[in-house]
Amino acid sequence: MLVHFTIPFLKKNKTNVMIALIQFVIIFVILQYVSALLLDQYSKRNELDQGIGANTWTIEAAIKNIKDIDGEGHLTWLNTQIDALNKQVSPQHVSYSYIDYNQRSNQGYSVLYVEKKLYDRLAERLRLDQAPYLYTNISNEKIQSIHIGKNDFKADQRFLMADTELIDSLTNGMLQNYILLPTDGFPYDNLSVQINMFIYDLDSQAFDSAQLLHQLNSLNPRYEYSISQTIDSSTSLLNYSINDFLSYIFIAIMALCLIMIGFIGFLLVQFYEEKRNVQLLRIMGASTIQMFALFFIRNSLIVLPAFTVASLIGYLSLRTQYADVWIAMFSWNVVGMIGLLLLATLPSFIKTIQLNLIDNH
Amino acid sequence: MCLIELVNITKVYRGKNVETKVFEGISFEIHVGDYIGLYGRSGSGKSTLLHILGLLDRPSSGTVKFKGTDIGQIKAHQFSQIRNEHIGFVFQDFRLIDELTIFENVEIPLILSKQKCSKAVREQKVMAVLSKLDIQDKRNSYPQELSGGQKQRVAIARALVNEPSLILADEPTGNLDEQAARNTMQILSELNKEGTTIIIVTHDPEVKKYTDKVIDMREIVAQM
Ligand SMILES: Nc1ncnc2c1ncn2[C@@H]1O[C@H](COP(=O)(O)OP(=O)(O)OP(=O)(O)O)[C@@H](O)[C@H]1O
Ligand SMILES: [Mg+2]
Repeated sequence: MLVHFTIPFLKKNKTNVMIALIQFVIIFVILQYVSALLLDQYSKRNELDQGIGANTWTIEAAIKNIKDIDGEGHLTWLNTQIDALNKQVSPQHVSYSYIDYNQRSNQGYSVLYVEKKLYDRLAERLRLDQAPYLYTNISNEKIQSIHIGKNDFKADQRFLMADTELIDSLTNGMLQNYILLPTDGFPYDNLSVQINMFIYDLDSQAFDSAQLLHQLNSLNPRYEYSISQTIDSSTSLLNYSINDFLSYIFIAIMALCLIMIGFIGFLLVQFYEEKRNVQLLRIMGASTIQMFALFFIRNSLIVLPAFTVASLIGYLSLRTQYADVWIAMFSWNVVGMIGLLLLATLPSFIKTIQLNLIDNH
Repeated sequence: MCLIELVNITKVYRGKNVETKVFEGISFEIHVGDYIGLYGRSGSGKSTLLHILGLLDRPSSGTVKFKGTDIGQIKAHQFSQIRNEHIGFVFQDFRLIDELTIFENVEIPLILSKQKCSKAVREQKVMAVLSKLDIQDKRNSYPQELSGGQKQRVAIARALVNEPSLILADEPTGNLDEQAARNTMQILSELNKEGTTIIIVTHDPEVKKYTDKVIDMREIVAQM
């Protein structure tokens, strides 16, 4: 009965209802994009945590301006940066490795130098796994994931740890294989190597990533630094970057602000319109439960169609990109929608309870 | 028979900085079938008193008995049910809902009623009061399409539809011309003859011709 009561109100306020509908469609679309983004990040993180172990980070340096590639070698890591890094993150959590492509590649294999701490760590792992690994056709990302202690190897691949003498004795027969060597020194003298810097066994909360990146960037302006977790799974390259994460949080906050602005606008218009009628219905004996039902039904008639439209838009635009998280996202959005519905209804309801029924025109 | 009994009623509005004492120590009785005019200058507390009588507000102190029951003992949520079933309200500014048709406006108290009735019964009840007030042909119109007098008749129809024992009218003729005012007063008189208790707040000395009893705010305040 109350439903049939609310429809005339909506019909008579077509413009406002249309505005509210559009507002809610936008709100729900934003909600879907943000929750898809965050859920996607979350599931990536989970996968990464499982894939390479939690709390392991790679600091990558990407050249800022492609024109800067002038054939001259430039240092991706400067002494001052190493100092800055060690100031922020205790050296026991920092390590690095580098691949020497040039040194012996004409002999059919490359050497991967690993800093002593990391070498010991890997040796421990690999010894536990008993057989030495020999690794073929290795990609950069794959190397990184090996460095940080997770074996992502195929059954027939082996990774060999060796000392220099052993390498020499092995060089003849081997092609395209990497040999892992411990190193004690940072390769400042060799500009052609690509250095991979790691932070391991450290929660991202334990260091100020934004400040660290800012420092690294300002100390070496040729490069853009980023902190991420990377895994090379069989299907796709996963990358979880702290910079990205921070910007997602920023996006999420902006989106929330937008949602709140739209939402508060809706509430204000609603308040303005309904005060008189609410009072009248109360005078004629509407109970508080009936008032709540009335607001709830009225708001549902706006929110539910808007949610349906937004879900359709979301389904068509996000389905492929976020296929894995779509169901989870949709469930969260239903929860969000019900929350907004209650939130939209509550102020009117509280107002009704507080209402002083005396009104001198 | 006593419909409403007020014993030693005081009403004080407490604002943030100001305290307005409207009246103090008022006692009187309203009997079934009374037709009472409530007079007094602006700000003397007529509406305040009417709201207390209509269970829209509680007094600051004193006892209000409705049909023998002390309303101080009644839970607030039961007030709405009593209002819905026993009391009809009529206002100076009609207070119809612009978004609803005349029919729907009059139907509201039936929809809000705890005693659910079918659509057919509602239709029949609404049409009965609309016919009684001679506005049945306006059933599908909206309030803004009606004259002041017609709107007031719709408001009275709405007040009547649940067959209340008491009608409270706050300056019902205040916004009407002479003709429409007379018409409204005649309708209320007829209702009173049929047994409905009516209390009417007014400035209009003409109204005295219709009412049986007069309560003057000046006098009851002076009694204090
Ligand atoms: N909600 C309220 N809060 C505070 N003071 C109020 C409130 N309602 C009324 N008053 C005060 O109570 C006094 C009586 O008001 P009331 O509305 O009962 O007067 P009235 O006799 O109906 O006047 P009028 O003839 O102008 O309608 C006035 O001084 C008014 O300012
Ligand atoms: Mg008044």
